[in-house]
Amino acid sequence: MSTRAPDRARVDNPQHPGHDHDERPRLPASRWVWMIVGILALAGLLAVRGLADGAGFSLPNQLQDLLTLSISVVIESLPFVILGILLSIIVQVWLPEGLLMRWLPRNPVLRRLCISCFGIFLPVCECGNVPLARGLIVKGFTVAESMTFLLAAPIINPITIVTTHQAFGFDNGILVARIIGGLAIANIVGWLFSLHPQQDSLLTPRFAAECRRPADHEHEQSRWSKSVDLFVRETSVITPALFIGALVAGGIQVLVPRQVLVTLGSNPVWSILAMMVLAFVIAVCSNVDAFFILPFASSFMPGSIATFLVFGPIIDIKMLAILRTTFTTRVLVQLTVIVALLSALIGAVVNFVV
Amino acid sequence: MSRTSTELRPRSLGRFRRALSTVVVSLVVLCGVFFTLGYLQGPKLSSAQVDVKAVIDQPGQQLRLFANQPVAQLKAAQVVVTPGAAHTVTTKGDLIAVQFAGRLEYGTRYQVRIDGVTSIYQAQPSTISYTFTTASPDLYYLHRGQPNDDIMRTTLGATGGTVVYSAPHIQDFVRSEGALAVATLADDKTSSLALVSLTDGAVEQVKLPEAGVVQKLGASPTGTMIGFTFTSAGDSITPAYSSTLMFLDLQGARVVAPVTGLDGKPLRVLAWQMMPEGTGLLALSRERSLFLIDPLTAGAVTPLGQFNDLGLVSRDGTVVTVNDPFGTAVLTIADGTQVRIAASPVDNSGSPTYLGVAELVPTGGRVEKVVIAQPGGKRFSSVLAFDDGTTSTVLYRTPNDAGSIESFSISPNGQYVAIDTVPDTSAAVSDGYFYDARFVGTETVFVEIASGKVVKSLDGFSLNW
Amino acid sequence: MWSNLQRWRGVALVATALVATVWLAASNQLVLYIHPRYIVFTVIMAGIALVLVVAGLLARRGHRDDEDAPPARLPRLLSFLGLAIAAVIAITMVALPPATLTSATADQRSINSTTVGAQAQNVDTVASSPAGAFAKFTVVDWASLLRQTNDLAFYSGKPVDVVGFITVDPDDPDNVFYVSRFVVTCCAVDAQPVGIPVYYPNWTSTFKAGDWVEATGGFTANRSTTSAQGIALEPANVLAVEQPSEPYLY
Repeated sequence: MSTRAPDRARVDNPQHPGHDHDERPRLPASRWVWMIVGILALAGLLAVRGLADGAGFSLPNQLQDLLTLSISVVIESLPFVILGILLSIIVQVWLPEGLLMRWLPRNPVLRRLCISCFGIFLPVCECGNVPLARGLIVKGFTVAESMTFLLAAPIINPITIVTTHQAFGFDNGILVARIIGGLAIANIVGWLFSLHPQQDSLLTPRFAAECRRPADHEHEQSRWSKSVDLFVRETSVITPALFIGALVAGGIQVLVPRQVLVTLGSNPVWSILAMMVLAFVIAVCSNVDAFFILPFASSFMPGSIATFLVFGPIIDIKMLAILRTTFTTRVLVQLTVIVALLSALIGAVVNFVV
Repeated sequence: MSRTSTELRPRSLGRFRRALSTVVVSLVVLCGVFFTLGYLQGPKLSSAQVDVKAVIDQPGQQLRLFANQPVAQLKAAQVVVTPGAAHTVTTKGDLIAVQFAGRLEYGTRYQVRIDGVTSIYQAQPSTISYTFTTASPDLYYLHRGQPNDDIMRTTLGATGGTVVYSAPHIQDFVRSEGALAVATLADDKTSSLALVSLTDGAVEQVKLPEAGVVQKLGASPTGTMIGFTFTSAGDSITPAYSSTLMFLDLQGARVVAPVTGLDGKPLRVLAWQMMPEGTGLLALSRERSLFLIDPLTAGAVTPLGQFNDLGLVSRDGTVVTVNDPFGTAVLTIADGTQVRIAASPVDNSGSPTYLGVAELVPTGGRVEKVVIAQPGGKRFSSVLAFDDGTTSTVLYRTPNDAGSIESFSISPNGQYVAIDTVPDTSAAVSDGYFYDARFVGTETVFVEIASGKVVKSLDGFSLNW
Repeated sequence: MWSNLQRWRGVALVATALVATVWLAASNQLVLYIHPRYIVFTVIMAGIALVLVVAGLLARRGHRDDEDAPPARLPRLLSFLGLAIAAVIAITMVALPPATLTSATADQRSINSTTVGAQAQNVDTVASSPAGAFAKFTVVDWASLLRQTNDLAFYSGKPVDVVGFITVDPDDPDNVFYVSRFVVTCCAVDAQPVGIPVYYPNWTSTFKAGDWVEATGGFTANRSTTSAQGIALEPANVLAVEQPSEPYLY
């Protein structure tokens, strides 16, 4: 598809052969050289990888585990990030202009409620939703609306609902608390941030600038080349954050004895807090976090588990690193405080009622 | 791209900040309220496990109650079980394990209430209560009819039963783990032995050493060993088998082999009984020596003494009643010590009572067949009595004392006794089986030992608990 | 320079990670990091992403003007630092041999701190299992049974044959160790160590923590006086073995 892209561009814009952006009818030879260099580099990496496998040296256990854990987070999350970027590309480039907007109610509250339910159709867990949420902002959603989507989607995505049901059934109201709690948190946070007078100031300057860019480039690039360009740009934003988030998550895993959290988790007073900390450090994907927490179900109170399942998909160490690509630190602090309090409340209510 | 927001343009940053702080403050307050409420609530029951079948079959079973938080140690007195049952209680983390010392009663609704349950973190007490209904065991019995005899399955509460196996001329049957062993009699007066699976009803014929008669079938309901005596057919003066005790291990080779005595030769027995657990058995040889034998272990033959007759092994397998010329004794199997027993006077009437077969009740006391001299001493009647060691109470007597009590067996939990009885001996007609003939109309009556109430009766015999 | 770095860092990192992923998948070692159910999805997404990476090298760039202005010194420095850290991880992904989690993590996560997953064995069904079934039981199966019942009679006649790595029982480090495995629900991050106690006096003279062993024997009352475990494997034999190709259990 990549080789067809320039031809399309030339046909689309025959009257602009000398446009002052990269708008050229034919790719310069250097591009092809770069591509060959790139492919050779990939092959080189593969060769290094193959050779390194035989190397018989070993690192100290702790360091080795830090790397294993970090790499494991990267390998596990990357496909979802890529899927998220692909969906974001579809929303930004391939969906007809205004399609989403047309169907949404005008009333802001109802509108956010609809947006918070988007996730039902998207089997993407939290990290993949960030590029998609970015795409929605670029496409014209307010920051608050996009945030509503971002918070609700990982919890009400179909895989999450199915796995939570498999793990807990309807026992102790955990599944219900999770779905209702997730939607409630997303809508409350969405409402709160919709009150902010300068929506753009919630975003990082770089992303805000990207959103402000006028739409007049539309005609200059074919959809294919625009998609590829978007892929390159989104990966350059998200991937470093993912790698650093993975390293931090791995580091905390190695340093913080899990036993401390597990012990606290059975204490009715501390369990909810312990579960939030556990969710924060463990950064496990929302699609499977129910299975992860299931073995703890016997020793933890149901409310703490509900808290884990509501808080974890929205806020964790890896997620904050990725969110930081889009939102300012100030917004993330406010977001974390509100989400933490709301999840704690859900847990406390479940503990009291069930 | 332009914002296509439909929001009203918010006035100022102040409104956002006010809303933010209001939300945060109210959430903190709400969290505080619910935390406090939860704190004051104390531990709650989140789930419970009990095997309603195992609690009636085996002693020492547990009711496992899971609280929603780790609980502090409990005392047995804090646990109230209704109806009463001896128990101990242990806690580990969020688990409260109530262990019942004995077997529980059949088909009974139990309530377990635990008062003053506290978390290990706080002193706020709460009460946990749980109710469960125990299972009623499957009962198997033999009903002789025309043209086929049926082995039936039923329960104490059920009316009627279902046919498990049907064949002409069933001599006897016995239940082991997962299968019934059924002896049937052919027209040529030889037996055949079949194994009937209780899971799928599959029938497997057991190869016998030669043509002959199978009698005195025995098995442990929880084991896989089946035993019987075998006598060669024909009138030979030196038959290969003559009341020879044979065994068959369903878990092993499934080959019928003789049980050997001290001399390593096949044992000929007057009586024998399977031990309730494991693979051991008690055999009374023709020479009237009693042995404890494990047929699966070569040389595992322990002589227990000389006796005239062998009574019934207690359900826990520790003692057996035996008869010798001086009367009846309870023999402790492990060390061979004997305690003489005699029937206590029935209902303190002072009339002489004579002890027959006795079996120890797991929960204490004995059930025994006694013969009572009627006032005047002219007539004697045979009754079944419960003897607590000082007095006896009549559990069952046939209508007008006209019938006879053939045999009895106590339920594994000691709650009921099943009595094999002929209601009226004067009118009874034999069913004419060449071996193991019974009177037509023999029935099985179930009596609750504690109350003496008849709870059920069946048209049939050979009851297997 | 800044602009090029900004633009290509993502592609470079993704490409490195993808190469590592594809190679791990090809050499069957992806299970060291993620649950097998994700392998197909991961490989498909890696394939799509690799196509996009190559296409990205060809594609013309939009919006160059906005990215040309480099930010201030400090954010720029932090950005470089972050990128350097990310690069280190990316390099280790291709340069270091893949590894499983070690016993250090097992110690740190506290063995058997959870009940075992939904597929684990249940006492009721096991009690009626045929004798041969126990040969296939893993560390996880036995650990879940040990958690459910301490009834020695239940374990009698049930032979144990399990493979796992050694972690130390902190209560009796000289005489008791655990034959343990990690149970993974999603990826190595959530791995929970699960193990069965083995009573093997003075085991440290033969093995060390982290060694993979195959232990056979049967469960009996634990003869260790200090261990908190009531029941332990009385090994008939403990053999050093190679780490299995799928070191985690699911």
